[in-house]
Amino acid sequence: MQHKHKPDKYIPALLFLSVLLLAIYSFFRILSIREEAEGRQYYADIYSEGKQLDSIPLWQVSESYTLQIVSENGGTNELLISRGEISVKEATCPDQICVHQGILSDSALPIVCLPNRLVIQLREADDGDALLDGVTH
Amino acid sequence: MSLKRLTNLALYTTLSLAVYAIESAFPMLIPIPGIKAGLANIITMILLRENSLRDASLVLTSRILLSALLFGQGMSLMYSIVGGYSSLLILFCVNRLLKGRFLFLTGAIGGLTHNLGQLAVAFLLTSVPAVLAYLPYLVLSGILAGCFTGLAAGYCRRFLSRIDENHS
Repeated sequence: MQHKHKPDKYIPALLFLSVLLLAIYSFFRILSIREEAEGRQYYADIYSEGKQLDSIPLWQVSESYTLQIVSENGGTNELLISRGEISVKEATCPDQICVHQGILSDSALPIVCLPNRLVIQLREADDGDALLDGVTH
Repeated sequence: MSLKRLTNLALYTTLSLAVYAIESAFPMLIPIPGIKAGLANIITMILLRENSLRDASLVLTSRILLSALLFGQGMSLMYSIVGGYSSLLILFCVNRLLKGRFLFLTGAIGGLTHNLGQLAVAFLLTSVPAVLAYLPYLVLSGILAGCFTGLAAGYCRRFLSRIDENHS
């Protein structure tokens, strides 16, 4: 370091630029995540505590029904499953984020209930694996 | 620990707990797990900037334990601890590097670290790779929320440090 003032000037600028670039990159990643669900067929994979509990072919559901998932810590999530979509109707977790996430009908983002360690992810039925890789890396 | 210091830190703990309680009473704007303003971080940053890492970690620890006791449940403590301490450590380093200037930048990096830490915990607990789809959301929200809390800390610290001086 020959110039004593140099790091003072460049470190904040460098940090600022990298944070800004990261934010912009994330923003465009979010925009590109959106997915056209029309005419696609999905499995709903339900994971609890890291284990896959169920895989429901959503396009075959003819009548809506509810499914109760009880996690190890005693919390429950009540899922509502209809043709082509799935949602969490009721949950015992305090934040209720999984309920507010609403209806899941494409594979862009999974429903996650962190307190009860529940994840619901849609997976496309045909050539679904390539799509999954694209979304989750 | 002197009585004055104990009282001061208790005051800061109360402040951050109150801010935390007010924030959690607000309705959620975006229904994505992990996205929040993190207003209690303002207090942590002020303490880090004005006092020391030791004071900041004492208040952070008290706040995390008290909030878990008052509002939380088992699992949320884990997220708070990992997110809180990883961001505290990064905040300390960046604040050192920037010599206390540009608090908004420090905050942005701290918020980013906080969210990355929490996502790592979420991934470990659920072990479903699909939760990583939230990465860009959490990166962006961590940076934005951190910028905001950093700015707020920059404005608030003048008034809060004045409280310290007047009563010494």
